[in-house]
This record gives sequence, C-alpha cells and structure tokens, in this order.
Amino acid sequence: MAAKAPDRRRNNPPSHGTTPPVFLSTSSDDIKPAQSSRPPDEIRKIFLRTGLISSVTGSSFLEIAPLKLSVSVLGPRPLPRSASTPFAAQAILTTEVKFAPFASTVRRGYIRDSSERDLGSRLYQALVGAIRRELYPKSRIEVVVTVLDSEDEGDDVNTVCIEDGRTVEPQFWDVGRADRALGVVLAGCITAASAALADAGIEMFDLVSGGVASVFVDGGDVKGKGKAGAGGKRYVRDPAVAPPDGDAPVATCVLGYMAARDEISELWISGKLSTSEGTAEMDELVDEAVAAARSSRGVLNEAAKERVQFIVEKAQSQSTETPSATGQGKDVEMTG
Amino acid sequence: MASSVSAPASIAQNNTPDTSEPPPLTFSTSLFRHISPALYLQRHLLHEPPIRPNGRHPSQHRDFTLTTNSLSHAHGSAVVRTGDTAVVCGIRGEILTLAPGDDHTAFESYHRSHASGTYGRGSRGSGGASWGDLIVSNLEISTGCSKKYPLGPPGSFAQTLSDQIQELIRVSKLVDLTSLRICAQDATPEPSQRPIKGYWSLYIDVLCISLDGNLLDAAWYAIVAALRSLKLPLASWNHLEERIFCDRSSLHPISLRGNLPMVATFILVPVARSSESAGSKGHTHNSDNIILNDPDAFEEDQANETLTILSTSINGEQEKNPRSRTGLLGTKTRIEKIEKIGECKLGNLHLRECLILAVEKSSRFTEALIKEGLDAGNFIV
Repeated sequence: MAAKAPDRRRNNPPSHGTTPPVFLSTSSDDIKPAQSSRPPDEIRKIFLRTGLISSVTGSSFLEIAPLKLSVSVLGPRPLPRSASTPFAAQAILTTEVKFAPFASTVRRGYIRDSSERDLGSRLYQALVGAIRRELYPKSRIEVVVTVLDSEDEGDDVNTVCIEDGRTVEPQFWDVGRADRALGVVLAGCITAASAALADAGIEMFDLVSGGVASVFVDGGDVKGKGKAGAGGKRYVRDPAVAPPDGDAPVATCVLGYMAARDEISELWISGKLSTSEGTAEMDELVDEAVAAARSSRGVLNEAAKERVQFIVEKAQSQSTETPSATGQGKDVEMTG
Repeated sequence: MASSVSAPASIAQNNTPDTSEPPPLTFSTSLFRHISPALYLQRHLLHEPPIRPNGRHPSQHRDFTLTTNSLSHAHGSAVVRTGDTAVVCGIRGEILTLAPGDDHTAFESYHRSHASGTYGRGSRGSGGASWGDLIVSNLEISTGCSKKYPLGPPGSFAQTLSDQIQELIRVSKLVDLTSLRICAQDATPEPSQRPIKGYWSLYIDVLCISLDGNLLDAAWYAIVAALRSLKLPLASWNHLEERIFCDRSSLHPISLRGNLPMVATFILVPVARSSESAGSKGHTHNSDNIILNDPDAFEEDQANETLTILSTSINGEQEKNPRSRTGLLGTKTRIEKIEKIGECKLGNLHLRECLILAVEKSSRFTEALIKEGLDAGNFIV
C-alpha cells in the first residue's frame, strides 16, 4: 500500500508505506469463531457507566463483549457569534463517530472515513427527535463517540491460503458482514449516547436505545427463502457479527427505539427480505429488533438511576459536611 | 486574609445610609475558584500544612491504575487512569517491505539526520509534513475529552505533545530497533547473517478519553506498558510468493531497553509570601515558587513553569550496565532529559527534590507493571 501524502499535523509512517500483516493459513478451518451459547432472544451483557469524564457536561462508557466505546456530550453551549452563523431557534445537534486507529482489524487513519460519517449521520437521526431542542435556542450540543474496540470482519480479511503452490485470497462469502459490524456499533452508539445526554442533564422526550436483530434461514438455502416450507426462519437478537456456525443472516435490522413513546427514531435494514407475504417478514424482524432495544433500555434505565442516586448522595453529603472539614479550604471574605 | 479593595463611595452610600460599615461581600469557595483561580490556589498553598485544592499534598502524585491487553485488535494495549485523566494506548504492527537496494541501516537508527537525504525524513519543522521512522506515535485529544479542546484536526497542544512523545521515544531509545527486523529464513546458521527483508513498523496511538492535566505522564506510562505487553506475530519471508507472511499461532515480544525511562512532570506555581502581612497586591519580587507534582488541569492553568524529567532508575542486578555511572540519591538514577518550559529560575535544590519525586513515581509504576505481569524478569532484554 503506497502511502498517501503525509499529514502535516501528525507523525507519519516511513515513506515506504506499510501493509497490515497478512496471515498464512494452510488449512481453511484454522480459526473458528467462538460458539455462542446464548439463546436467540437474549442480548449480550451490557456494561454502561455514566459520568466518568469530569471535564465535559455528560459522558458514558459502554461495553458489549468486544465493543467498547466512550461518549462525551459537550454543551449546550452558545453558538459562536459570527456573521456566518445563522440564527437557530432550536439547539443544533452535531454527532461524530470516530473509530480509534486500533479499533478494527484493519488500521484506520485519523481522518474520518465515509463509514464513520455515515454512522455519525445515523446517530444524529436517532437522537435528534428525542432531544427537546426548542429549549436550547442559539446553542449547540455536540455528541462525540470514540470507538475503542469493535467486533468486525475478523482476521480472515487478511488471511491467504496457499493451494497447489499459488495463493488464494479469501472468498468473501458473507459480504454483509462489514455492514452488520457497523450496525452493531451503531446500536451501541445510540444507547450510550442517550445515557450521556441524560447525564448531561439535557431535556429529552425519552431515552433512545439501540437494538439489533437478524434473520437466518435454516438449511442455508438463501434463494428459496421466499417459498413456503423452504427452511424455517430464525430470528436472533443482538447477533454476533461472525455467526458461529458459518451461516450468514439474510437480513439485519438496526434501530433506535424510544420505549416510553413506542417510537422508532432510526431504522436501518440491510439484506434481503421477501415481500411475498407483504411486510410480514419485515415486521417480524423489526419487532425482534424492538425487543432487543427494550432489553438494552433496561440497562439504560439502570445506568441513569445509578447516576441520579450518586448525585443525590453526593449533594446530601456535601450539605451535611462543613467545607473546612473536607480540607477544601476556608471561605475567603472579599469586601467590596 | 482578605485582599481588600476599597469600595466605591457611591455604592457604600446607597446600600447602607445609616450604618457605618457595608456588609462584606462573601463568595462561596467554588465561586472564588472561578473568579480568581490564581489567588484561590495560592491561599491553599499558603495554608499550614500546604494543601492543594484537590486535597493532595504538593509533592503527592495521583495514584493510577494500569490495565493492559484489554483491546482485541491491537497487538499491545494499555489503559492508564490517573485521577480524572484517562488514556488508552493501542499499538499495532504493520509490515514495511524493503525494496531491493534499500539501505536498511537507515531504519535502525534513531538519528534521523543519517537518512534525511534519501527519504526526506526529518522533523516536521523542515517544510511541514515529512515521513517518519519505524515507530510512529500519535496522540489524539480531539475525542471530546475536555471542553477546552475542540473537535477536528489536532491543534497546537496535541501536535506539541505528539512531537514530545516521539522525541522521548527517540531520545531514550526505548525500543531496540534491530528487534523489529524481519529476516529471510536462509540456511545460514547465524541469525544476524540472514538478509533483512523488511521491518515491523509500530503504530503507537494514544487516545485521551478524559483529560484533567498532566497528559504527558499518563500517555508515556500507557506507551511503555503497551510496548511491554506488545506481542507481534512471527513474520517470515516466503520465497515462493516473495512476500512476508505472518503466523498467528506464534507470538513474540519485542525487546525494549532494560531500564525503562520514566517521565515525571512538575509545575511551579508562584506564591507571594509577603501578602500575609500587607494588604496590597503585586509583591512579585518577593514571590516564591512551590513545586506541584503531577498537576491537574486547574493547576496547570496557573503554572508559570513546567518541568518534565525523563529519568531512569537502575536496579541492583543491572548495575553491570556500563552506562550507569551516575550515582545519585542513594538509588542509581540517571537523568536522560529535562524539559523546562517557563520563566522561573530553578535551583539545584528544586531539581533534586523533583528527581526524588520522579524516582518515587517511577517505582510506583514499576510496581504496577509487575502487578500486570510485565516486569523485566519476563523478558529477554
């Protein structure tokens, strides 16, 4: 990979350019993804904690198996006063999703690429309806997501086999995998971002939680999925990106869902769905994703509750203690 | 002690026409901190015993937690959290394949001037962008880690720190660059005789997740710990394909310096001692400086001097090292680099005090490394 023009704001690699390591596998069944023992209607364990970053208004950290992301909310703060800034009766929301360079199998650069921009705009779509933006005129709310680790294509992207003395590049039998990986990240982003917004004390109609669901066709006969009796459909909530038994899902749905209002704020379905029975198949897939979002909403509620309790306890302990007892210095009188 | 400002007569008359004295204007502590941060900090430091607003003693550093190898895609990683500063460091190796005729010695040198003619490597100062070395370190703070630093391309602070870290790696010769060689597997028995086909290039990326002062120390500790935890797959030259392939099943660490250099940052804060007796401000000629170890963001803003010391403590068993000549402070400590930014005069006494604190901090870090199972004993150095 020839290196592009060097970035004048960063330290650059050697001019020769570097390539990610390519692994040599002698037999194709070298690595098997870990078998998941989860029932299809159970989502993975979510770790969500808010208020870890003290220097911003609101923040959260989310961990779902390999996915780790940190969200910080800056604002609401006033828009810069310049001629180019139009008047905004409602708060302007900006969302940014950035993968750390070491967050995926192939190293990402520091400049945001198209998939990160795409995730950012989808996250915007999911959140913008939930925030009571009219309460914050002439101000700006920034949501910044940093993805530290993610589950993606897996190492077989850069694995080659040698057969009969010549290299065989891996065959991408599962083209939707990259999309699915982004979908899982998006669902995590939505859940974590609403936790961070709540932590920032920004008024919202409801908390948005993300959910993912996939539909599999048993028997692996993808073409015959529309016909009745050709392999039963299996719906899996919060599916693993690399499915354990090697069969790829037919379609995947990612959505942002407001449970209290029963509203979907963002919907992203990728894959093939049959329309022979009307929208029945799609409806079922969306229902499964909503159920997954409801499950993660429970975690979201817990995190919000935990944070409120922490703040209340802190406030109570501060009001009972005198400032001098904490060693925080004495009140200084200033006359004037 | 209150620094009194004589009130304008008109206000005093309007407020209290009958009594002789106007009610004093008092602020809460948190408000005072915002209105006059410098004075707020000084008052704390003049307290007996001196205590910083964050509750620490001036010479006390924040304790930190270290976690290594928590990322699945990085070859080596570390998370360091000191107080409210949290950084994540991930290191990935990529392969640089040498073209026939390339001079490989250029890559094994930390002295950039040797190769600058050929590949235009060199500091950013010479005409802006340039190509770098085998070790590429970058620090990112545009992650929403603080209100102060806007999103987008790195500003001057991030660039300065990235450069400083790159410089520290270079000065301390932290990584043994010859251990990054990828050699052809010839019949030659002597490994050093094998032709070099390429190199591992290490991308060290440090992301600041939460920022509350003294980012450099946290970033450096994360880098050192991540380098220690680094495990690269075995790479070898394939004759048939004429390219380098890796083997996932056998991983190996890289060799670092035996004595790890540690960074400690201090700031000097001016404290006007004379203000205890006089009501007037501005006795700068009488001012003294207090050294604060491991400053947080609030203290950093008030500093008029920043001192960064890169030092190495030499363990007893490694005393055979010919470079460990300097004996200081009981334990053998070598200063490798001192960076001083500011306007203060700094005496030997100050330096000695800082050095003792730096040694203390680095021993605490070594402890943390041992706890992670990454102490020097596990490595062939």
